[in-house]
Amino acid sequence: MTMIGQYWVTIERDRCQSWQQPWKCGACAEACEYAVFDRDENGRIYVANELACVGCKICLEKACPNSCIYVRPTTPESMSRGVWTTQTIEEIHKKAETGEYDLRGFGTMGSIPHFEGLVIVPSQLAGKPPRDKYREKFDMNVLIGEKTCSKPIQLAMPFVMAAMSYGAISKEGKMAYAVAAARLGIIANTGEGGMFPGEAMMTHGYDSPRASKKGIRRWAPGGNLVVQWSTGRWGVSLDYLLASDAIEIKIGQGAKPGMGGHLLGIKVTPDVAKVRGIPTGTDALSPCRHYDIENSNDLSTQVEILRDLTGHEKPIMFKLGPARPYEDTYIAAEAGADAISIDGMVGGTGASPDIVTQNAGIPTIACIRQSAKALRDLGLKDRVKLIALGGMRNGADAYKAIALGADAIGFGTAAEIALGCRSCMSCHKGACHYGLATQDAKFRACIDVESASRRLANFVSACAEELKILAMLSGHDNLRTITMDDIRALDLNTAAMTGAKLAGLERSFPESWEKFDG
Amino acid sequence: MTETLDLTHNGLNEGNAQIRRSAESGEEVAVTNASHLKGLCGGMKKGSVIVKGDVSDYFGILNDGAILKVEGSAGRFVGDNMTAGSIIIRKDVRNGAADYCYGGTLAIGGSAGDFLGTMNKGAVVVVRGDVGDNAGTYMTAGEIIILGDAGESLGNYIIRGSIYVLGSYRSLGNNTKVEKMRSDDIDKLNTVLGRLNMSANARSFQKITPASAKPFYQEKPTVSSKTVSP
Repeated sequence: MTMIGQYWVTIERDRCQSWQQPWKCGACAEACEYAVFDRDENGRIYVANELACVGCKICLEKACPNSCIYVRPTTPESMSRGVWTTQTIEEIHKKAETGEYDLRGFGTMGSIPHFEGLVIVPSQLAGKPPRDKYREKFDMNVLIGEKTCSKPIQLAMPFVMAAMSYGAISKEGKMAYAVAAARLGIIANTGEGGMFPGEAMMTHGYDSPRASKKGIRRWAPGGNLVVQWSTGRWGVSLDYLLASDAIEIKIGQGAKPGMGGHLLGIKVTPDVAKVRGIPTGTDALSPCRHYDIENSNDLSTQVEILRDLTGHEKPIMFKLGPARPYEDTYIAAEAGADAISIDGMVGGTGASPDIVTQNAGIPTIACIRQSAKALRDLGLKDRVKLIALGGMRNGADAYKAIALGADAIGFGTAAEIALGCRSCMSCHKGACHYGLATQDAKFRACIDVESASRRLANFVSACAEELKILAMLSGHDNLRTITMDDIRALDLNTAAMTGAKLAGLERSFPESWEKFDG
Repeated sequence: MTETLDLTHNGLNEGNAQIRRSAESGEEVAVTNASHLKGLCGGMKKGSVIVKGDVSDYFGILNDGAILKVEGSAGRFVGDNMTAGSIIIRKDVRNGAADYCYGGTLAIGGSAGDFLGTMNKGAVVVVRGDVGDNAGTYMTAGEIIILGDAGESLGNYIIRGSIYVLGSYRSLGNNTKVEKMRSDDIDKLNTVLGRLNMSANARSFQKITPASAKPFYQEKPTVSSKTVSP
């Protein structure tokens, strides 16, 4: 491909040596292989042939003593340079210099197929008539563990707070999650770092045990706390399980499936160390698998044991990363799950190797229908609830996930953003300016739990209203009747990945999807 | 008088419910015919149980204070995630004994399989016989005391805590070093072994500890990056 006119080249004259002292320097002109620079009759360097620039920046990096040349692409570099963009080149240089791979927080960036490729089909004459969002009823309760547990969990809306550990997140951040879950009547999740003192009580909706006895300071309607039984078992004890409303066996997560949690020592403060039961400053790297689960029989044995230990009261849930969603969901459901969370590739994390976040996993939209099919094939679609996570942002994502087969969806990254996050991708460094992914008192001080929890609850309530609008305009009075026929794919990729009918064609593409649900 | 529970015809829930109920009285409970139950005696906060015969996997999982004794051998993952109390197995145990423990004591009269005390975070684990490979993997606290020999990769990626071995080991894991026994180590071993009625010359043990407390991500100076055009 000929590189013509792909870069704008400018010289900052105020700092260029040849503009201060004519006939001096000229290093850029000497270095450039394409004669982009030349000297004018007054001995000053100017951009003589901008069209020839290939964007190598040798003039800047090897020649110019004052770093006063700017080389900027005229078109996106992914088009002009293909795979060898500035970003790629700098990444290779960094690895060459340090011998290390990149570790970062947040989630998958760049163009992973997501819910954009799907639209919702409204009701007109054909099919069910639309319903009035303002004046008609809509049921969005979700019940988990109805048939198997003496204390099933009822979600007032089909949302859960994604699991984030105390350690990855500050205590104030975790408190905001707990109180927001209480305000909304949904689920908060301890993540795998143990339960901080007061987490269960706050999630249940009380400010303090003494106050609750007097019936004051209650965050109605009260939520439910799910505790994780994860590969590191941080802070896990009998009391931890007994204090919960449900237990989630964590197998993996969207941002780094096949790897355990990473909490770098800088975030293991004395308080975090106490909850996790490990020495301060230790890197808490969870193993990538459960050392006490060797096969699927062990998995169902553990489910039975966890039920026994907690008196058959609490739902047992699973959290899966995006790998082989059909088979994985099948195994988890067979092991006795009451609910299964499938976390797509777009899911976030506090720390993960960039190469994993960007390359390992299956897009969220491609996971959900496969997981739902596994439950249907087992005849468990009604009993076992499917929770979809991984890059959920609004009521439309929720609707589309539900159409694909989910019963509820989880907010992780979006919840962080609702609490203030601006996505700097440095969660692993422990210096979060919004007081969330940090343990530093200086940063944590900026979170006011009461107002932060209100922001988060506002965000989720708004999403619930969005979901309600979309569901009612497509003729539903509850979530359970939303199906694949309520969405259409806008492009072949999305159609092929999800099995949604292609808009305009009004059929699945490829046709093999038509037999998918048997 | 010791009450004896025959669990031949019981499933896990009824079996454990009976044991927990009987243990409430404070008397030692004897249990027979329970080798088919995985997760036997799980999550007990108090009481004292003696099992005649063998037990299966996950015996005493999440033990939080009870004293559990087994006259035979145990399956995999005995004492998994124990936080307090003590478990004594007269004979051998299979893989994964004392995984994920935060506290309490597990004493094994025979030998143990692979991955003994994986991710131990504070328990004391004593094995009279030999142990398999990968004992003490990813340990962050506590003690593992081995009176026999150990297999491959002993103490792999240990971060805190110590492993004492009296016999030989085939290989050490990553991030380990062998330290000299100090007088407080000898006192500690004598106390623990004395309490369990085991005898060994405490001076002859080798002590294995972490080479570095932070083996994965070292703090490094940040990379000097050249100015690139904005």
